[in-house]
Amino acid sequence: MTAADRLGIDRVVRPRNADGSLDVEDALLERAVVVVNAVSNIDGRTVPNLAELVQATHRRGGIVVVDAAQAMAHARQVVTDIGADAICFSAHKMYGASLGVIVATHELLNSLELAFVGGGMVSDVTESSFELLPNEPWSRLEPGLQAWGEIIALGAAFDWLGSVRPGGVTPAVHLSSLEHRLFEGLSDIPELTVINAGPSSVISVYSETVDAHRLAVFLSRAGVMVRSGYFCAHHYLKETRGLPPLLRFSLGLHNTSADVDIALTQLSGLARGLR
Amino acid sequence: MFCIGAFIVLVVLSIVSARYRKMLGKAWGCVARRVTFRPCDTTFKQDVKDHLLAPLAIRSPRLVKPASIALEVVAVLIVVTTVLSLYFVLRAGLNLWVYNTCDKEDSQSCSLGAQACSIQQSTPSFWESIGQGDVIGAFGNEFSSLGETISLIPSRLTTWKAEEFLPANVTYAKPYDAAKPTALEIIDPGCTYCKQLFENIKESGFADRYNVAYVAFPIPAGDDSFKFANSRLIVSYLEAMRLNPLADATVPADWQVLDRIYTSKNEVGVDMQSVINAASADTVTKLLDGWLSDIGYTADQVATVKKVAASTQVSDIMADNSNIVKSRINTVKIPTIIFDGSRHDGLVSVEDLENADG
Repeated sequence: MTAADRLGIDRVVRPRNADGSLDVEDALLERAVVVVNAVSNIDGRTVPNLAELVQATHRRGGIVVVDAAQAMAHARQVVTDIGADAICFSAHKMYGASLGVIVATHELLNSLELAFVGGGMVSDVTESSFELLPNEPWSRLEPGLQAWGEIIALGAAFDWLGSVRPGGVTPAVHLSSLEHRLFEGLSDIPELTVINAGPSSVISVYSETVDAHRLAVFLSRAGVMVRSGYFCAHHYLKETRGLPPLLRFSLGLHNTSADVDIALTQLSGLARGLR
Repeated sequence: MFCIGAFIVLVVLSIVSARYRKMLGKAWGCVARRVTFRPCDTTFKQDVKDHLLAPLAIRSPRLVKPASIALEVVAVLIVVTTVLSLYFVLRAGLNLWVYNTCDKEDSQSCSLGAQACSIQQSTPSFWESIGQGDVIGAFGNEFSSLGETISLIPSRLTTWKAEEFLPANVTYAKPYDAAKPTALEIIDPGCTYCKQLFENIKESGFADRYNVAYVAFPIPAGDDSFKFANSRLIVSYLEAMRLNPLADATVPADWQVLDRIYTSKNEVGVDMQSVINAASADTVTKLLDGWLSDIGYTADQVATVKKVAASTQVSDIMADNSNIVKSRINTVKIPTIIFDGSRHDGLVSVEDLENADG
């Protein structure tokens, strides 16, 4: 937003279809910078036509930046081999340490204007100029000392995600079981409205009578950690859909079916008692 | 109201624990919005309420709603009691400065000012009116009393001159000396602190350095009654003696009687003031008649004094004296003594009397 404002570039917000797909007219993609999140942080919806969107954008000379913060831990396949110009994610959301990560094409990196110049970026320096490392375009975003501890932790997180077998099953199977259990349980609480169309590792609900922030505080007291509010999607949730603040459950590989049952028991009791 | 109540509680908690100071900052932001007639930050209000209600919500969610209402009520009570407390503290401070007592209605009950006998106010106190169910009257009297106190603030900044308040037929403890300054005390014969002041004046030699005069004022205690039952009778005798002084007396007759009331004891060693306060009017009359004879009045003169004491002339003088005390000097404490440009409400110590400029 701030870059568009600063550079005087038109910014267009496109709504998703019910299945999460995006319909964007070709004319809008002309030399466009398309920014899209691969998995919704509200209801876990993916963008089924993400690969087609990337191709259409490239045909019109644009680039696609994918927000994969939600995808990297649970649905990495949705950003694999789609040909995006850049994929951004947070290491801590995939069991790593706090680290911002950008995976970008050489072409995009080479086209970037330099914002900062620091150690590890240049091959030569003259009195009036400098030369950047010719074969390491990623170094353009890495001036100075890197967060090596966090980077090493990220590698360990990838290794762990590739080998972990919660309950003796693959992460996808484990999560899918929990997602169905939670989704069905939440759908059975009459005082709540579930935002999701189906099971997902991220499920949001709201109550017409009890504020989500209050529910979150009460659940916290019961040992159930949830998020409440609009999750930085205020425009979509509040202005477009006119929804109250939501209560969001995020499932992880550390969760068990017992955790889900406790959450459902506590929430149903609160929703019933507080109405 | 809730965030104001929370702010008050957090102020107290923050004094004893630093962990509440961050929340105090948020509460202050909320209060600042309220007092400038903007909506309170509902996030803060809800955060506080939700954290307080969370333990209950887990056990009995149905009780959350009534408990939430109760929290609001408690918040209102906290704010109201705090505002009232602040008001009463400020009022007490103002009273202490203006009247030398924190409780104008019952000055004797305030231990912060000098010891004294109260001049009860004719209007009921705020809490007495509330107790009688007269809420409007309570606030009306309260603000009227406050206004009166505020109007008397200049009197604390003024220079008091005893000469301006001397009663008719004034007498002095010792022969008047124009070279000495004048001191005027307001006394009630029945008030024990007046007895102590009388003794302190004697002990300090104050009357040797000042022309000490007095206004005798029987402290009223409601309709036609007095705080000390026999004070009015004694004061009427004192005024009658002033009108019929003993010829050639070194010490005026009324001062001699005062001296006997305040410093003498009966045959079994009980202070005469205590004896008089507990005695009937007839007994006191006989006692005074006897004292008058002792100090030199003839039987006819005693009869005259007795007759004048019951006259309208004395009643008028006493009414004038009452006007001096209640309307001009505006003290609520007896004794009050004026000297060295200041008004001293209540008992003055020997040391202070000795240190008086003279």
